[in-house]
Amino acid sequence: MASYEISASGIRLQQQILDTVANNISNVNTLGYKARRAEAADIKFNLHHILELQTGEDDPQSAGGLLQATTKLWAQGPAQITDRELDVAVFGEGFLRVNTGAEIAYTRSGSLNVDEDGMLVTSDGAYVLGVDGAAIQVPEGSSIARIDDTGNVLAVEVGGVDEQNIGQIGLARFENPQGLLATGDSLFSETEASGVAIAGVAGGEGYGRVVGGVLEMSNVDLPDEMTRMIEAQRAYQLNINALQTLDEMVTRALDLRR
Amino acid sequence: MIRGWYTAASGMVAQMARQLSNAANLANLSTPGYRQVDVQVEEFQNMLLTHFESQDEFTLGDLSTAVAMAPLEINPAQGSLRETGRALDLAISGNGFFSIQAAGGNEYTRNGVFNLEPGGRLVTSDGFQVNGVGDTPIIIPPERMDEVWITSDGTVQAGDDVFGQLQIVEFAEPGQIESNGRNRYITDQEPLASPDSSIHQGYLEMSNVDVNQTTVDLMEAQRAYEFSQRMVQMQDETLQMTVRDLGRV
Repeated sequence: MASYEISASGIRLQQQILDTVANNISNVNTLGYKARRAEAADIKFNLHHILELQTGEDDPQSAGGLLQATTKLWAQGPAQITDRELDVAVFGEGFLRVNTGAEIAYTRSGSLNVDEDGMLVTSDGAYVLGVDGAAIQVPEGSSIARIDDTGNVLAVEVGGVDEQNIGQIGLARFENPQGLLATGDSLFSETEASGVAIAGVAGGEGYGRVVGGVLEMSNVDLPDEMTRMIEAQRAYQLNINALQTLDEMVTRALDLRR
Repeated sequence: MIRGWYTAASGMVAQMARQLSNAANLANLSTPGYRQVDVQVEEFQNMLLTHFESQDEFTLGDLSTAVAMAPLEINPAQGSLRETGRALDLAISGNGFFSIQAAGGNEYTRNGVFNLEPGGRLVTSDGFQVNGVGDTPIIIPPERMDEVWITSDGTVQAGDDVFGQLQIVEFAEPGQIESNGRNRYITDQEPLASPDSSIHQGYLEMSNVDVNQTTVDLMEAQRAYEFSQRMVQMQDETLQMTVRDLGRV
């Protein structure tokens, strides 16, 4: 019955909002995580259709609410100073480009490491790509000293003092970052909706700076999420009440047949 | 007597419609820019009862035959604004609507969750163009997105460069516009300029559903429905008595 579907759609929508909030809350400590926001929309209210006074319509949903989209909130996450030479944060626009082995992906999570082959990798082991699109390798016998504002990776030989530039970390930007696909581990991949990645250099026009010794934390605003959670729970309950009321009314109508 | 039966039954239908509109409003407590729908229950056209039995007819008085539902009304009350800090979240205070280019022509919305599509055109979250003044697209060069600010009259700019001005319209009868779903409204009314509306960047307008009023109304509709149902039953019992007892004579 179309009338039961109204409150059912509201219950479902609030459940989806709660799922989004729960996901954000569980990523409150994930480096480079970007909060998501569930976007609700209404379903056209067609009273005559619901009351079954009008026939010939095939749309089962005649009123209520639905989840239309999920917006990624790209606001800068708070910076945490670590003074670790392999930590980088992008201040402003731009993603680090990484090669996961399966594809080129994009991330804001800048806790980097050097693997056993001397390659610069993310915390998940994906190769960090330079402006030339190649992975960055630390020469044997050297270690990374610092990463400068434009993403240059400077290494020194063990026991030495002279800095040697071993590559420049590249950034990428998208015309519609909203269209990026989140693939987990704070990684995003390019889609048709996002447009192709526009490669660039930190500090260039339209790109942010790279700051070494700093990490970008999750941008989840915990008090805000808690507020949303309470609201969604209340709204969930109210929709259940409406459903129960409807059910009692329908029971009344059925009593007429006794 | 059967007449009364229909009156009571029509009351049940009307109260059910009220319940359904309340349910739809409660389903949209979290929908930005949502406008509460109100079902108005009104008396059906009254009829005159005339006494025919004697030679000279005389009027007994008028009688309501049923209740009916007036066309749905959209409640135009302002919803509260909530700060989101997102550059392309826009809220309107005042009676205005954003004008958007949907598949079947211009439609209107109060939900200001916008995005840039590749190429920089300003679109709604389901991908329809947000109209600038004169139904033109607003194109923001994506590399300048982080400096974009939108003034209270809807001018979209970055630094000294102006990329357009949002088309904000209002309607002479704001309650008579029709919901088209997905936060969009349609109407035959001529869109008018809306000089008193102002745009707030980084805010969203929340649903204007009045939770307390709706909850009370839900209970009221349920009780009124039960009452009408009782009336139908009483009519039935009376009829039953008539058939049974009169037939016995």
